[in-house]
Amino acid sequence: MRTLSIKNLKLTKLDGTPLLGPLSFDIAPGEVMTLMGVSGVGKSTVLNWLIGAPQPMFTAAGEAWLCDTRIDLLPTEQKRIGILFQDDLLFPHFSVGDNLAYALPSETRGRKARQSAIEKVLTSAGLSSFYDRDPATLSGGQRARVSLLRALIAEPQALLMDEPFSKLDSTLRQQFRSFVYERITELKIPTLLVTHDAEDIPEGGNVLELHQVGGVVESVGNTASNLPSASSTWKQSNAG
Amino acid sequence: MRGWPLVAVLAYSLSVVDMAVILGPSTPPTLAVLSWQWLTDPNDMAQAKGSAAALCLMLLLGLLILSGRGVWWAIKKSYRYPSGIRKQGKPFKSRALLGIPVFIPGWLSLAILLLWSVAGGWFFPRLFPAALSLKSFNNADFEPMFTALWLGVATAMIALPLTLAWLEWGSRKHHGWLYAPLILPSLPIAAAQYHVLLTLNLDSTAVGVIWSHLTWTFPYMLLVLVGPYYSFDARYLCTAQALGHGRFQACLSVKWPMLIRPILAATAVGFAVSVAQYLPTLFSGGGRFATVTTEAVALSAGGNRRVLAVQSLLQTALPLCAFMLAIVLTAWYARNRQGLK
Repeated sequence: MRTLSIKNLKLTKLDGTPLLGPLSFDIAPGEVMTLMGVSGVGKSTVLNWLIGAPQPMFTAAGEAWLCDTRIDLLPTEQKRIGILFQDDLLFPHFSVGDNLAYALPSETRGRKARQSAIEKVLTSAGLSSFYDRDPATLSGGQRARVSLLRALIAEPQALLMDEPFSKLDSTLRQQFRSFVYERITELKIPTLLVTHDAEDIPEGGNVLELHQVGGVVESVGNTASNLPSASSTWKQSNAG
Repeated sequence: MRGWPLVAVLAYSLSVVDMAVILGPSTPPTLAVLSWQWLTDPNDMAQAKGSAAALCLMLLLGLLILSGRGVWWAIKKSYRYPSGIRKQGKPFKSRALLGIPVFIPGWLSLAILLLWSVAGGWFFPRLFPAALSLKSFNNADFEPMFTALWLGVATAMIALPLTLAWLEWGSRKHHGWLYAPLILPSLPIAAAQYHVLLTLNLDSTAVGVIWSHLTWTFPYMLLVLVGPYYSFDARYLCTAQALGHGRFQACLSVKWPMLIRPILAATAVGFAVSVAQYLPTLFSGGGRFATVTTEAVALSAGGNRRVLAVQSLLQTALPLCAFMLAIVLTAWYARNRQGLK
């Protein structure tokens, strides 16, 4: 089952003071769970722990499970988790097509097959003649789209998003947001979204709010106005 | 931490031998020159004196550093700025422009070298040569230049992966000690290396010379690369890894190509540093490797200014070509990519 589960995540700062936890929640395939909270509460730290980015300032304890495999101990490249940041981070020395080719799994072999797979993806997003373009010549919205395409073409089993919409202006934001959520629902990928903006929360999506209580962050589960979908579960726990 | 460049300059001035020998061949020798003369003397006692003198050089450096700190402390007490401490005192007007005139002698020297290399007959008290000819260039020995070239290329090509490996996988906090060869007098280090190579039977070999050059090339390359490397956005590597590539693969295909400009600049610097090495080439090479630098110093003792000028120009040309190559290669790599310019 393509579910992303976090079990008993505890984050501690280097000097021993606890930052966050214990935190536990599950994200169902195709579901977007939103992580919200004020700056500095530890949202990005959770994402970094999930993706396996080195964090010398914190120690983490807990388990992460994806598709019934334990992933928190695996190196980043084996986790099958995609990540989208605030900036598109397209590799400037590759063309648009090369950026996507870098993400395309090696199962697709042969230049022709790979090229046509990438062209298909680009066309589906309205970027059909963009293969050889220099990423620096694209508009902000186009770059954001290519960045998402790149993350998805790698066939991730889960997706993490660290405020991916915050640098786009409001119309672009809406367009891109729907584009992203369409793809996620279509591909049934569990997604964890970190954001400050409540408008980013998808319809009927679950929200996990992290509050700072006496110096330690505890999570208060909070659903959006509609009922959560039947297959999603979340747990609320207080600081230990 | 802000005083280290001054320490490096101090260490260099204290221990430079080739400059002292060229500029004042018949004047009383500096301590560094004396130490070098003793160390290269076949007599055992003289070598012991040389080692002692080399140690004195280190002590002298230490003393000067301490007195420098003392002077700085005194300045901070009596002037208002730049100590940052609010107190009565005269305002200290900084004159950064004072640095520019320092370069003028350098450019003038190059001009004179150029003139000498194409001079026919040039006698005092004329300001210009009586005739110009390319005879000196036609008869020039290009072998020292080629020796310096391949030594420099080999050293830079070995130092580059070492530097990248250290920056990527080495400790970020504890790397100050790697810069030690830059702030210590080079004479004692070169002399010590010679003894090590003797024991290993590697003296007068190319391997020995290259290893000796690496001692200075590696810290300089580190110095040039460390800024851009540590400020590189870590999310690029994270993204590349999340897309399924291992760390080394990601560095090779994403991080290092994105850092092509500082990497090529650092390689050019490394090459230049290797070309400029005098004492290490002499010591570790046992005098068997004639580079443009050793030749230029040797020729400076003679009277043939034209040959000297040609060798010196060749010595200048090598790093110049390296830097130009770095610029050209970067421009070519970034030709279709605005994001790399």
